[in-house]
Amino acid sequence: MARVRLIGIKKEFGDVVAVDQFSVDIADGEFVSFLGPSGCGKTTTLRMIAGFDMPTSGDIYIGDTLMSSVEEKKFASPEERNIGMVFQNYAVWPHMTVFDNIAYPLKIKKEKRSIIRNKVDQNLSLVGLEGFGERYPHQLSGGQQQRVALARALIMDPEVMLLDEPLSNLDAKLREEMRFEIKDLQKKTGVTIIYVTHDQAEAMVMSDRIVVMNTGYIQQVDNPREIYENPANKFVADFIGLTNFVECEVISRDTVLLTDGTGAHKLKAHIPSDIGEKAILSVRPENIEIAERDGDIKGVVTRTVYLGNMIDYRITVGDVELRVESDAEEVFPEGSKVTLRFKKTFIFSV
Amino acid sequence: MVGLRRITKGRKIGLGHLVMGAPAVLLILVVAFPISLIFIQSILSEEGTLTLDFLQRIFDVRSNYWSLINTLSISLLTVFFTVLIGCPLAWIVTRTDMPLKGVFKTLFIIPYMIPPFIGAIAWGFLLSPRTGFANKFLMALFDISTPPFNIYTYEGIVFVMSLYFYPYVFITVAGALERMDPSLEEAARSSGAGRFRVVRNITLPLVAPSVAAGALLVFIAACSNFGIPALIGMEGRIYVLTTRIFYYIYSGGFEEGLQMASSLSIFLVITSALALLANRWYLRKKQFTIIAGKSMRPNVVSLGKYRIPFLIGCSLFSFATMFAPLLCIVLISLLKAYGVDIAWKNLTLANYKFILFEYDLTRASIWNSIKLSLTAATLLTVMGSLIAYIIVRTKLTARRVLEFLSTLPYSIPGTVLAIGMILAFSGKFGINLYNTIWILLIAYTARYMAFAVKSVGASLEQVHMSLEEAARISGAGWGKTFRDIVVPLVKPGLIAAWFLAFMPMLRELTVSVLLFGPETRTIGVAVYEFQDAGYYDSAAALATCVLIVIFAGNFLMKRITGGEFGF
Repeated sequence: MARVRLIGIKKEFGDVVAVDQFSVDIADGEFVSFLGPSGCGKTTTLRMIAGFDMPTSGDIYIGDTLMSSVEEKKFASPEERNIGMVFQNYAVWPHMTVFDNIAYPLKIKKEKRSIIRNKVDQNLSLVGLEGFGERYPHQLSGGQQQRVALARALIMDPEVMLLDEPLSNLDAKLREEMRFEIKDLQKKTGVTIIYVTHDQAEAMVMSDRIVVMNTGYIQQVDNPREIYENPANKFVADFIGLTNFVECEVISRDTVLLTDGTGAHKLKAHIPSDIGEKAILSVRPENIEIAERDGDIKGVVTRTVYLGNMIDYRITVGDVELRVESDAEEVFPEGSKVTLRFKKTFIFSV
Repeated sequence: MVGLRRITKGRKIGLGHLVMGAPAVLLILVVAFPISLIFIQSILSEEGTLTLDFLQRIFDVRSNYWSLINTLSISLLTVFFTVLIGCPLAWIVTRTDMPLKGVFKTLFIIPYMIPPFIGAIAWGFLLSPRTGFANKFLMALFDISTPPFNIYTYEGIVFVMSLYFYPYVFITVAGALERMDPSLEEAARSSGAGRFRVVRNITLPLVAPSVAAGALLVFIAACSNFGIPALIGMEGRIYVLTTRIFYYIYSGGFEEGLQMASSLSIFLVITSALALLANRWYLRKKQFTIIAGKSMRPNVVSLGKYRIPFLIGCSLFSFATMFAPLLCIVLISLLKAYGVDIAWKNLTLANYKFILFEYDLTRASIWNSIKLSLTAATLLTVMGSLIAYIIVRTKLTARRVLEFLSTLPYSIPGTVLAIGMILAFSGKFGINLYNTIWILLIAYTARYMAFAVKSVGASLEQVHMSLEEAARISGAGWGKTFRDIVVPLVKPGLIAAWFLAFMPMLRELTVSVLLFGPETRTIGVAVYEFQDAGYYDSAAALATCVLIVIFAGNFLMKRITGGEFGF
């Protein structure tokens, strides 16, 4: 098991910068997700850790070993890195049985036959595929193929496991099940896991820390709770969970003026020091209190959707439509005039 | 992902580089070098200055001038007739309710499998003015004293070429008609267009690009063909470029003849290149997709009372153009002597005994062809796979060059390739392979390399990159990954490539006839020489053997590849 360090990684494909200024220190046994929309550079970064792509600059350490460094002209090829990897499309070899697939890394290492047999059996039961050894991949379901891929990645006791959107090809129910199974596997084996996904729920459920990425740059590195409750910027607030954005002007050190046609409301807010005059206020739907009167801002309910445990409102305030989630105790029908109060807000630069 | 190792290994060259680099170096040596020599030879004077003298000198001889005109006119006429035959046949088997149309779809492709020079021999047997079976039959039937047909004419060449090259049009047009989205035509019908209006306004314009593609293949096949004009035209002194080049190599004196041959080759290359350009120009604004993704049921026209007449017509066509000539060859191969009556008492297997067990020349040529085809097919499958791997899997800039070089020898006429081989490997540059089996081996390998590159490349496209990456991350190096993952997964492509190259090489004529030496005759050359020298019964027997091997091999290939390759 090993710590993984990426220091100042940059990757260019021709003129396109795919990843830049990427530094992260992943602890031994940690579960870290790279989360972001497609094209954000998360898979590219994973492939650089695996050794399939070479960074344009920067260093990669796995444990204490320098695996990749442009400055020192060092680059370990994938087979030299002792990494387990699970691919998006499983990449289970169709011409080999389940047993042969899982045994392959050990055969490469020229392990004894008896050891191979034992370890493969062990790993088959670890992923819940006892008795499937003699089958061919085409006789397995997607979920089972995924387990084969997991067992194959785990069998050589890798220092690090890399998972590239491993659940995106599975149906919703199986996906939820597998999340917990992967997390369990990690607890059992203690392996360091780097997990690439564009699905925030997946990242939230499994990760110790999440690296949120966009357009090749890290936006925020933190644990799931911090990422949700204290997003570092507008992108993170928008990408993780739901939020409302309202344009505003900073008028004093702790006051903003909403300028988005909401009727020039002044609000107290925590304003980071590096914010200019024009700013954006972000407020999550569950952080807006809705009441008949006594609120700060007046609005009209334009849509009410009853969701059982809560109510999802659309409320028009001036030119803006805000999304508000409130418990189902008091229901405001469409067309009713209400007042709103923002409980927790963030101010971001534009 | 070769190339990544650069950094670990510093300046040291890895095994991967060597394995990958070897085919590239070989391609340059056996393809780029010989073919560029043809151009150099034709435009560079002995003093090393640019000159058009050689190209002009060709036209001092009237026969050369006529051979160029003949090549162009014969090829164009052949294109015309193949379109005339191929399109209706394609329509019949794809868009009508004629009985047995599936059977005919296979039958109409048969001429594609038969070597054109064997076709030429067969038609000679049928329509030769003095002894042709069909001529004698018609003379007896209608009580006429002069034979109605003479195959050894300009028209004869066009006739035989049309019958053996129409499958190019047939296959491309049938494919387009089958895969065309039927809703395109249905939309026209519901817009108020009648059945024939739809054909004119919708169907024909949509298949036009496929017709053009087939026509281009026919044109190139016709102007590069050697067998038909050699066996039919040379008797009547009708020369085309390929036969004229052959004439110069054999009758022109080595240096002088080679000079003229390579200058003539330039015209042959230009002719096929012009056809390619004309095709591109025609297709430049016709890049529409008519093919629906999934296979659909095409609109079928009901022939009504014409179903049976159509069936009879197709049967007669198949009989007259396929069975009659083949039957004729088989019959002659079984006769005691050419020209005797067809009767039980005149039948014998002596011809087969002679060519297979008694005559050293044919035995040697059979052995040569087998040796050559086995070795070349294996060599080119290995090299072609590596080249396909580089083309499909790497981002090296050189891969476009490799792709071009590996497919070039099949895109240019075989005659031209052979001239290039002679120029490069007959001692001028320190390597003399002329008259040895090695020059044939190099030529065969280069000529059919494209098959391996294309077929393995296509298989490789189907193998997702992550399957290889999974092996790398499991600890396998590049070589192990190739052996354990890539090779087993592209196996069908490898087998197909091997067969696709092996079969035509076994009976190759165009290249062999220019490169063989006294000790290195091949089957194709032997058949040609027998026929040329008037040993028709031996020619027929050997040709029959070739046909049997072709049909058996095709059947075998279809079996092995699960129907993906073969007809």
